[in-house]
Amino acid sequence: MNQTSIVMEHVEKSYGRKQALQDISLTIEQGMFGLLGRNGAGKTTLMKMLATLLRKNAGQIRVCGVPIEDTKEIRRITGYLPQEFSMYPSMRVGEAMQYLGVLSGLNGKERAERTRRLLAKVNLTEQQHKKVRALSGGMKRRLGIAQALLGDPKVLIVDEPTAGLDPEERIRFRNLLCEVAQERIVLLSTHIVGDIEATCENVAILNEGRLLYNGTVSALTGEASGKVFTRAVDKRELPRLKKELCITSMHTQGGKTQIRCLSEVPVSGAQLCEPTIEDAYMLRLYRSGAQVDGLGGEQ
Amino acid sequence: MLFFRELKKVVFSVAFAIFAVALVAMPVSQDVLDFSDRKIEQPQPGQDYGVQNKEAPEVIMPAALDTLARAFCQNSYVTYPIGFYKNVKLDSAKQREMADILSALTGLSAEELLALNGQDGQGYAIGTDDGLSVQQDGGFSVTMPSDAQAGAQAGRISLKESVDYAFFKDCMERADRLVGGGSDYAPEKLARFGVVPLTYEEAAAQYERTKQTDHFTGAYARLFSDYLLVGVLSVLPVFLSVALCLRDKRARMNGLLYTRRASSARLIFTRYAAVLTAVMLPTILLFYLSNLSVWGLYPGEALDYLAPLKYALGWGLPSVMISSAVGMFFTELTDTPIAVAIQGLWWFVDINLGLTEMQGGYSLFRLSPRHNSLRHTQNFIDGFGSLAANRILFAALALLLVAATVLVYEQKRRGRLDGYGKCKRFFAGLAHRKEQSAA
Repeated sequence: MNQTSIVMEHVEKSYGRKQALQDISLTIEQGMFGLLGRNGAGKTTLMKMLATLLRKNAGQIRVCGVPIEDTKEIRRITGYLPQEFSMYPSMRVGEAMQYLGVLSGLNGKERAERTRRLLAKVNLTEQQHKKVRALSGGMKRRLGIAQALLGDPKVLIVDEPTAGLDPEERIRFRNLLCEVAQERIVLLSTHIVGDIEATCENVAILNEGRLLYNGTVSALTGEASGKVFTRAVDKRELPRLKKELCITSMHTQGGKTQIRCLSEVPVSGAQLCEPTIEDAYMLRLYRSGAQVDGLGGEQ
Repeated sequence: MLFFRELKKVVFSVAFAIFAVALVAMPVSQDVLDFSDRKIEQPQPGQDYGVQNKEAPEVIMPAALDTLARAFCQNSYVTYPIGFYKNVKLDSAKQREMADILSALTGLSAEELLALNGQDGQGYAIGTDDGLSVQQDGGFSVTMPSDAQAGAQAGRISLKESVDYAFFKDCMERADRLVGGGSDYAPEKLARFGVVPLTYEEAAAQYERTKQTDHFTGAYARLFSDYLLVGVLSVLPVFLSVALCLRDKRARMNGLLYTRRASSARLIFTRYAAVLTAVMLPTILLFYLSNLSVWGLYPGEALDYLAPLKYALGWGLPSVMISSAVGMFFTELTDTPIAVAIQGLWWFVDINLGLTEMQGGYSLFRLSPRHNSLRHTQNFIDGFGSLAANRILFAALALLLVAATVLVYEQKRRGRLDGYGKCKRFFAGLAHRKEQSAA
């Protein structure tokens, strides 16, 4: 029994006739683990199952050796930051931490100590007397992380935490996650590829409820090696090229447009370039037959 | 700790502010916050002691017959099915049956009686016109003429001499069934026709009971309970528990709360206790404020200084418990404020049903037991067993509902229940079906 990992075997979940997760087998070790996928890929369903908010229809899940059915123990060892994190707006920051601390089973001394330490960690000490409604979006997410860590969990589940944050706040948040991942499993779900690239060593890709990839970020990026090209094209060629190639970005300079595309075979007149994780992710989707044409947006 | 945090959430809410205003406004508007001008006086010989309802066949029979005969002549019977006023008009077959009943009681033939239909009893005297009298408690009664007076009137609809009370009651029961029930002719309500003056001895005995049983303060606390239950405590606590439960959904806090270690039972029962405390603390305070106003009226008498507390907890708390529990259960089950409508409807029907037993309504399923009088302590003594059963039943039912709320909450935490989703799908399905049928 592995006490430091999350093990999922043949997990299935459906909502009525809609299959949300199909035959998911995955092992997540300590550190940051990214779960990447488009909206509706099944990431939140998987996260909610790990947080005991949804039941699986089939398969096995063990979190640090604890079967997911043992909800009481799972709740003790898990911290959860939901996709739409929110707190009672009229509560003060410190008060909100105290309230959730009570519900996490902490005694008065532990609550006071952890609230102080965690608010300092997420840089919210000065805001502890402010009402939650007065916090910025980034501050609220940081408060979200602080509350999720109240019970000193072995596993931290973070669902789409950076959506809507400005670049500076996003970087600060990612660094914070990396910091807390040093002593626990942090499962980060996102559809923002840059977040994974900056924080995770291991990643899984979900698409339409199926697992497309499970491995290291570098191996994923390596898969796209030799398959990413750039080429300057005439604007009039664009409609045709969009149909023929998987264009991942476009950049207009004067009368020409610089395109970046994915191709299994060399593209005439195009230059090979270094793949990014975004290229690799798109290639995986492309290979799986997912609808990815027409992706290029002109910049 | 959790309790105080939940209590703070309840008390610092808009719903509680509205509740607090209503809690104070109700006794003020009904003039029961200050009883200092309503001393219960010891009766003295030669006074008017008011009237009382009594199972007195000699009074009940002519009065009830009088009312029934008037209703028959106008084919307009007043009933109160489930507490609401209803004017019943009988078809000719049923009027014929009613004529048979009246015939059995009066000796007049059914044909003679049917001939009076639609004539407002013209040609016949029904009772007298001079019997209207206003009672001390604001009600009124119609007293019947003596036999000698009655005999002097030609063609009068009056009882046959041979009619005994058992037969009369049987006829009235048939009349009640004919009009669909809920009328004053039902055997258990016939005593309302028995309005008789109180004698000095009866008034003195009544005073002694108030003194010995209620120690005066109990009577005031009971009347205060009556008003507060009907106007506030049986219905408004539902708003507090609904607001508390919906607050999680509105703040999108459910995900955070569901994944905490605290058990569902601890969270739900703590919240329930917080709502009850928020309601009962100001309620008890008001009970004492009201009762304090009479403590100086009875110098030298042994007053019951705990009466306000006893009535607040014994009489009021079970209604607060059930109202709050209904709020919690249906809100957690559906994630909607539907509990307000459910409790509101129950309360509305109950107060209308209670109107018929204002001076002592302690039936088992009465949400707001009634005793809208400073007097009639004997009714309270007689009905105490029933009242106690009622209050225990409501308290037990409330605790059962809270236990059921715990189960519902736990199922929601585990993703096994989505009441809001189900409601939404149900109404969407209804709308879809409506659109299809319209198309």
